[in-house]
Amino acid sequence: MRLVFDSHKVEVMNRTLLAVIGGSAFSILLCLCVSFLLPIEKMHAVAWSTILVFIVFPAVVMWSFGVNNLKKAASFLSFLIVFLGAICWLLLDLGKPL
Amino acid sequence: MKSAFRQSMAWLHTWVGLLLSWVLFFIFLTGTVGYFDDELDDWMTPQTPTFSATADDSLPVLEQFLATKGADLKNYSVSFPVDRTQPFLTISYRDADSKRQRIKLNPYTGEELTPRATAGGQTLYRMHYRLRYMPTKIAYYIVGVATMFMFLALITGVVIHKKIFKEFFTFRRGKKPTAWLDGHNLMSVMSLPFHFMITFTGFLLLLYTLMPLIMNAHYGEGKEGRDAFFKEYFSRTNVKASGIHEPSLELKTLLERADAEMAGKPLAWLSVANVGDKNSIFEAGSIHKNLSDSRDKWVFDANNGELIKVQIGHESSKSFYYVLRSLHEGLFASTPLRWLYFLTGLLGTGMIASGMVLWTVKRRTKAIKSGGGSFGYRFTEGLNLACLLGLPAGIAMYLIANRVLPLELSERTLWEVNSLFITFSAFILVAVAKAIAKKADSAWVSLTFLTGFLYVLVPIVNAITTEHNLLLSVLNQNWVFVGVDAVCITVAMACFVLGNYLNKIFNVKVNQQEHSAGPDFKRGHAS
Repeated sequence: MRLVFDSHKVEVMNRTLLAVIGGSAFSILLCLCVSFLLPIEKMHAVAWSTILVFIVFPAVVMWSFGVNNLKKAASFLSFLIVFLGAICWLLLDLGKPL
Repeated sequence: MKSAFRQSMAWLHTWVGLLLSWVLFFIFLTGTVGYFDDELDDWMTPQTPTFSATADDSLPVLEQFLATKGADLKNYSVSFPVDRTQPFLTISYRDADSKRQRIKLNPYTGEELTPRATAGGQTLYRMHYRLRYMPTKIAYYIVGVATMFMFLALITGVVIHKKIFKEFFTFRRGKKPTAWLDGHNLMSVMSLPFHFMITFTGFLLLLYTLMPLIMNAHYGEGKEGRDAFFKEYFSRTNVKASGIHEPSLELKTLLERADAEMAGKPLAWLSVANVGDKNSIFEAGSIHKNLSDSRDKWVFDANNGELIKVQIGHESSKSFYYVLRSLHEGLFASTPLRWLYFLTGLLGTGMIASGMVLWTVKRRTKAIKSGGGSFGYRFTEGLNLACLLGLPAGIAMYLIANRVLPLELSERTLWEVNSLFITFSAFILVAVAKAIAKKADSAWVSLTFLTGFLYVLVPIVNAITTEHNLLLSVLNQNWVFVGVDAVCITVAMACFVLGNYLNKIFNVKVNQQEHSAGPDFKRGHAS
């Protein structure tokens, strides 16, 4: 069981960082969006989307260790994070009483 | 491309598996034993009988208790004896100094039960998610991270095995390390649904501690946001006393009101708050010993008997939450199902253990060639073996401590727990020291025998210190005591067989090394 992508420890570290930091940011933001958009009672929306985090996060972790081109993957994920962050920010603002 | 992905997942599986396997082994084993937490409570309080009474049986006792306490009692809650988790009549109340009190009563006679001070099965079970010797929050985070690692190890484990069902029936016995690999696969696949269920539902139990952010975004930061969400979501009733006096109804009247509303559902608990105040509340609840764990409850105004709120069943995310939660805790399980939980839990523990062994076995040949392996390798082998044997030995010691520690010892419960961890630490010290000194083989054998010996001691010490020896327990059909003795003897036998087997293998290996010192060296060990 050798590292197939690259045996350098740097590669492992980069992928771990991508998985943990990128993965958690992505999954939390995605689920936060979902929690605003779900057309059900607020408390149930919160509960469902919190549960969803624990499905999305491991998927992203596996993806970041399995993907071939790390640089491409990192920039793709960063783009998604920024995009989702913007949407969340908008939704948070919309949700506030005027 | 596809196989590259599978290989990267194999790598992830190995390291994700190893890194937290020590914590996971602890969580799995204590959790598995925890399925019998109430039975262990019973075992660890041998002088206290258990009862199978009903709420109706114990109502006179409750009334008598309330009559003696009189007007001092403003807030109290009562759990009626319903099942194995609640064999007594338990009353919690605030006394005249507003200190919390909790007493257990014989549901038939009202005699107060004072079991010996013991940490009991509950403490062992609590360690499963709360660990020990550290702040709760930190423990929860460690357990949460470990759960995530477990979840990842499970998914990647499935990904590695394209032909999972074909490999399930492949057991190449005696060819190490393939035998270890096949054994690992067998144990994993056999109860794979259980592993997925138990790991995923594990998240749910710590859901808002591990991931409070979405809740915070909607309900506000910190404790206030959390309280606001929990109050709404779990419909908690807490009413503050207003200070305005208003006479409350008698408990008897309230119970009649509850009885009328509950439509034949058995009463399992009740609670009364702020007696004699304007904001006095009476709650009655039914049993929740089923999979949907619906926790039906009826809330009344205690002054006029008006029904304020009814909660029957759950909807949407809450029913999902409660079903998964009761699947995890298995409180609904009957005795045979409870044993199945126990056995699948053991399989999970075995899966983790064999994975740990596999990690060493796979690196073994290379390590021997390079003269004993790197420090990291030896240290890991030592830790693996310390965990695999140290924790079971510690649990045996925990049971023995319950019997031999003097009853009047102050902080007796603490010392029971300490004796578990002292044993565990001693095992870690010995195992790691021996492994670093390249004597892991002898440590495996001697520590396995020692663990077996400790498990033999449990029934013996039990027979000497209590009147529940195995023979009498069988005659009296006291299945809890029979069960604990039988399990201990089984574990002890397994340890002796294993120790013998390891001894033989290691001796063969030494002979082989003398002859050839070749790479075709044999070795096997187990948890």
